[in-house]
Amino acid sequence: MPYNIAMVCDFFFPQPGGVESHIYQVSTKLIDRGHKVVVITHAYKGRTGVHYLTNGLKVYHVPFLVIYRETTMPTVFSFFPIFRNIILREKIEIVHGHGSLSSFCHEAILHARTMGLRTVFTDHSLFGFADAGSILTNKLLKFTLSDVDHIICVSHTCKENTVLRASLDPLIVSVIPNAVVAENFQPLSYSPKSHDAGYMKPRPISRRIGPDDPIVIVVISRLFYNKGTDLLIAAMPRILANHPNVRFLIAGSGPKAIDLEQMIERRMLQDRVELLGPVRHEEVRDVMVRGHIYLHPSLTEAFGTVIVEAASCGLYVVCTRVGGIPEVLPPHMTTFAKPEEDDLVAATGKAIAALRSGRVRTERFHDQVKMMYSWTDVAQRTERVYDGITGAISEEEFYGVQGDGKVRAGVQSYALIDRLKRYYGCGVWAGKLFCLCAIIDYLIFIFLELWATRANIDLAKDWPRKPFINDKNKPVDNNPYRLRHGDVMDRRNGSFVVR
Amino acid sequence: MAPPSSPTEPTSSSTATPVATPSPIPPPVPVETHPNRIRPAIHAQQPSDPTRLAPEDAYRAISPPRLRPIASLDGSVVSTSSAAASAAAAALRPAVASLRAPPAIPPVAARLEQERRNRALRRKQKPHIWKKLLWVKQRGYADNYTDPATFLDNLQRNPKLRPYDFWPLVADSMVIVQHVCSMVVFVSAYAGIYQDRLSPVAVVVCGTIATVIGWIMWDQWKCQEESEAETPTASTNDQDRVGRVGMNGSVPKPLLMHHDDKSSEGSSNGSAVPNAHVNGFANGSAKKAFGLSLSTSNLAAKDAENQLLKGQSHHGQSLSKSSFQSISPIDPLGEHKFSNIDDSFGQTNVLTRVTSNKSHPSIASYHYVPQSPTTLPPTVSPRNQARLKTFKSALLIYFALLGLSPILKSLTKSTSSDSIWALATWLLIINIFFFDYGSQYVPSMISPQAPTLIEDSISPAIGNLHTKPYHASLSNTASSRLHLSTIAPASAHPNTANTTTPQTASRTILPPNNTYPSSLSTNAAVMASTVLASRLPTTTAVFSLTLFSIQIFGLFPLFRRHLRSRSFSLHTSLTFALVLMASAGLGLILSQSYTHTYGDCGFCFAWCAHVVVRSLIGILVGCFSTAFITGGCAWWLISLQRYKNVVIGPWDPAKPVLAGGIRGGG
Repeated sequence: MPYNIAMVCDFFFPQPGGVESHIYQVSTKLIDRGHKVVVITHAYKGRTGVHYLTNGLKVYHVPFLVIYRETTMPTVFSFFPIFRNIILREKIEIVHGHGSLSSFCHEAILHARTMGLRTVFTDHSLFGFADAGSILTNKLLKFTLSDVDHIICVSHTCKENTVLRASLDPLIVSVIPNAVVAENFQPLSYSPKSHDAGYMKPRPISRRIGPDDPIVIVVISRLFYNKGTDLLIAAMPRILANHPNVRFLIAGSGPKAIDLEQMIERRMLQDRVELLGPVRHEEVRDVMVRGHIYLHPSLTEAFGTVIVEAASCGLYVVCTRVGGIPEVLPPHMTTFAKPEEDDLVAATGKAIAALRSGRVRTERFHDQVKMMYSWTDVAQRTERVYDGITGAISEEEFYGVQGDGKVRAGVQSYALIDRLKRYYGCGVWAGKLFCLCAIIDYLIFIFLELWATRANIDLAKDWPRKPFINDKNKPVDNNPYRLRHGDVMDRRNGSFVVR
Repeated sequence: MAPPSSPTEPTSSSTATPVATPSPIPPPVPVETHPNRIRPAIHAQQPSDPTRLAPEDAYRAISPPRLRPIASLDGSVVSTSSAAASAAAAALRPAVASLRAPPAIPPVAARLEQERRNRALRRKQKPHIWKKLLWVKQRGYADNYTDPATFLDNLQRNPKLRPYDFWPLVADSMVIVQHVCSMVVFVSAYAGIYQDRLSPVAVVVCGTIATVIGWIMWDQWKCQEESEAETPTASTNDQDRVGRVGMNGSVPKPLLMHHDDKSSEGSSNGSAVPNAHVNGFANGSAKKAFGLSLSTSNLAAKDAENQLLKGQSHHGQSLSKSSFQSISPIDPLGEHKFSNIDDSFGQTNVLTRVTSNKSHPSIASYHYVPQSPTTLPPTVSPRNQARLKTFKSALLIYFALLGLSPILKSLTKSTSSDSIWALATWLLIINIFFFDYGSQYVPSMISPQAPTLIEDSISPAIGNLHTKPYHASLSNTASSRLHLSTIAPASAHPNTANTTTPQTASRTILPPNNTYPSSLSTNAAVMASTVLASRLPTTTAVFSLTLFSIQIFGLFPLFRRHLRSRSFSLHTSLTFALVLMASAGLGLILSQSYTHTYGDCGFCFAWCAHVVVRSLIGILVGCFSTAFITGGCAWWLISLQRYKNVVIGPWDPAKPVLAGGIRGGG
C-alpha cells in the first residue's frame, strides 16, 4: 500500500549538499512509486512557507532559530505543535529523519513516536568516539535511536559506526547506499547504447593515452582539514615533479585554500595547477570531464558520492582507504592509498601508469556505474524498509531468522511504558533525563490533543498521486501478460503495453 | 508452426506430449535473438535472470515442469484433482492448439514456475557470498543482513593501552607537586610580607641567591651540553642523507655527494655537511691531526630566555695546507667563533662554501661573511654572549621593576581587598591548571640537524658538485628559497617549521619544543602577583614581591624542566625540598605570629623554638598529606584503568602522515 511519508531534516534545498540531494532524489523516486512525500525543514533565507518542487514534492519550511551551519537550535519540545499540525494535515504515517547533526530530525522522531507513528532514521556521516563533541552527539543519537523503528545507513562502515554509537541491534539497521543520477554525469563523448540501431554500429574506439599526452588530475572537494587538503598540498608538488605531463584541476573552496595557493606560488606551479574556486553541483560534471584521474585524498568519508560521480564521468579514481570508501567502487575503477603522503604519490603514479598503458577502460565506467547505483533502486529498497516496519511484510522475512531461530528485532511498541523502558537503558543519568523528556513530550501531546483538536485541523489536498507500483516482495499475481521481456512498461503506473 | 511449449500443454503430464506434437515448421528464430533487434548482451550477462525470458524459452523442446495447473489461455481451468480429466484434456489439447494461431509469447506461468524453482534452488545453495561492498547486488541477502564474520572486524579496543605502574606514576606526578609547592611558597611569602612577619628584602634576597645559584648550574649544564655536542659530531654520518628528494622537487634524485662511498667519514662530512665541522683529511687516517679548527656557528636563533641552541662551535678540521683555500676573515690562525645567524639580531650571513675538487675532492672549506656586524665582538664565545645577554636582561628587568613599583603600589587602590583576593585566587588556579607540565627539555641537537637540512635545501641548486664549486647563500631575504627557519629548526617558530616541512622530504625536524612554557599560566601568575603586590604598603615590598614572583613563576619552571632532564635524583630532592619549604611556610603562616603575640624579642630562644615547632608541625602535616594525595591519586588512576574503553575503527578520521614527519593537526 502506498504510504504518506514525511522527510524531516535541517538540511534541504536551497542549501547544496549531499544530504540535501539524497532527500530530494529519494523523495522524488518514492513519489514515482506512488507514495506521498512531504519534506519538513527549517526556513532558509528567502525560502519560507510551503513550496512545491518538481514532481509534486511538498516542502514545509518551518520558521526556526538557526544556530550553527544551518542547524537549528535543539529545543526538545518547541517543534512539537507545528510538527503535529503538519503531520495531521498531511495524514503522515511514516516519519523519516536524516542526518545525525540535524536537531530537527531528532525532535521529529521523538514527537512522531509520541504520536504513534513509524519512524526511520538515515545516517549520513561517521563520528568518532573520542572528542567531546562526538560524545555529546552520540548521547543525543542514543536518545533518539533507542526508540526508532528502523535505521538506514549509507555504507557498511557507517552501519558499524551507528550500531556502536547508539548501541543498536544490527538487525534494525539497513545499508542502502547513496546513488548518482547517471544521466547528469556522462563522459564527454558518450553515446548511449540504444535498443534499436545503436549497438551494431561500430562504437568509436577510445583513444589511448599516449606516453606524452597530458593527463589531468581533477580534485573537487571542499578544502577542509578532514577532506585531506594537507595531504593534497604535500603530495601535489611531488606528483608534478615525478610526472612532467600531468596537470591538476582543483575545484572547491574552504579554509585550506590559502595554504594551497601559498604552496602553488612557492613552488611556482601556476602553469600546471588550475584553481577553479567553488563550483556548483551541476557544473561538477563539466569540470570532471576535463580530466582523466580523480584524486580524492579525504580523511573520513561515509560514502563518498563524489567518487561515484567521478567514475560515472569516466575518470579513474585514486582515493584514500578510509571510512566507507573501499566499499563504494569496484577495484578496477580505483587505486587505493593509505592516508600518507608517500603512498598517495605512489598510488597516483600507479594510476597514471595504468592509464598510459591502456589497461584501464574508462569509457566503460559510465555504464557500469549506471548499473550499480540508481535512485530508483534506493527508493525501492527504502520502500522495503517501510514495508517492514509497518508490517506489510512479516517480521521473519524482514528481519531474517538468526541462528537460534527466533526473531530478535521486532516491531517497536508505542506504549509509553515500553518507550520509557527503552529510554531508561540509555545511561545512569541520561536514562532518567530521557525518560523525563519522553514523559513531558507525552504530556504536551495530550495537551495539544485537547487544545488543538484533530477535528479543527484542515486536511491538505494531495497532489495527484501516481499509481502505486506493487512489484517487490508482494505476492505476484499470475497474470500471464505481466512483465514480458520486450514489453514497454510505463514506469509511472506499472501498466504495460502489449505489442 | 506451433512451438512445442504451447500454453495448452498440461502441466501435470509428462514431457513426452509436446514432443509427440507434430511440428511441421521448425521453430522460428525468436525475435529477441535477432542481432539487429535487441541487445543480446543482456542475455549473455544474465543468463539465469528469472524475471526475463531466455530466448530459448521460445523453442525449447522440453518445457519446465509445472507443479500445478494454470488457467490456460482458452479459459479452461485444469485442476489436479482429477488426473483422468487432465489426461483427457492432454489428449485433446494438441488438436485444439493446432487450430489456433501460435502465441508469440511463451507461457508466463511456466516461466514463473521456473523462477520459483530457481529461487528455491538458490536459497538452498546460497551461491552468493555476502560481501562488504556496496556496488555489488547482494543477491539473497536483505539490506539489514548483518554478516557475523565481517561485522565490526576492524574494530580495535584500547589499541595503545599502556598499563601504568605505581612508582613511575608517582615520579611523574612530582612535576605537579613541584609546581603546586612553589606556588604555596609564593603565597606564604606573600602572606608573611602582608602580615608584616617577613621582611620583603629578606624574601627577595633569598630568592635572588637561589636564582643565581640555579643560573650557574644551568649555565654549567649548557656548557657541558656544548662540549658533549662537539665530540660526537665527528661521527656524523650522512650516508642516510643521500637519496633525498630535493627541495623544490625538480630534482627527483638528489646528487650523490659522495665521491667514494667507502671513503672516510671525514670525506663524506666534508662534502655534504656544509656547516658542521669538517673532518677532511687528505690521507684519511689522521683525525684532527693538524688541529686547525674552523669554527662554524650555531645557526640558531636564541630567544630572550636563553633558549639558545648550543651551536657546535669548535670542530677540529684537519686540512692540508695546500688545499685550504678559503680564509676565515677574522682569525686566520684558527679558532674562529662566530655567533652569526641570530634572528634576534636580524643578521644576514652568507655561507660560502668552496670545494676544491681537483686534487682533493673531499676537502672543503667554508667561511662565513657576516653582512652586518654584530653588536658584540666576535671573539666572545657564544656562551659568553649568552651570559652577557642574560645579564643585560636581568638588569633590564630589575630596573624596570624598580621604576614600576610605585605605580604598581597604587594600581588597585580603588578596588576592595576582597576582589583582589578573589581575583588572585582565580589567577593562581588558572596558573596551576594551565601550566605546561608535559613539556620536556630537549637538548637542541642543532649540530646533526641543521647541516642535514641545509644539505637538502641546497642540493638541487648545487648543480654538479664534482665539477665546480658552489656557493650556497643562506640569507634571510624573501627572494632566497632558503628560509632561515630551515637552518634553525628550533627557533621557536612552529609555523615556519611547518611550512618548510614539505620541502625537506622524508626528514624529521626536531619539534620546536624548547619554547617558553605555557604563556597563559605564566601570564596569569604574573598578573596575580601584580594585583597582590598592589595591596602591599611600601614600594620596597611591592618591588620585592614582583621580582620574587618573576623568579618563581618565570625562571624557576625553566630550571625545573632542565633539571628533570638532567638528573632524576636532583629532581626528586628538589621536590622534597620544595615540599618541605612549602609545608613549613604554610605551617608558619597559618599559626600565630610569635612577634605579634609576645612582642618582638629579636632572635631569642622562644622565637626560634616557636618557629621550629610550628614549621615542624607544618612539615609533618604537609609531607604526609602530599604523600597521601600523590600515592592515593596514583593508585586511583591505576584502578580506574580498567574502565578505559577506547574504540577505534575505520570511521575515525585518518591522521594524515606527511613525509615531513609532521602529522597534520586539526
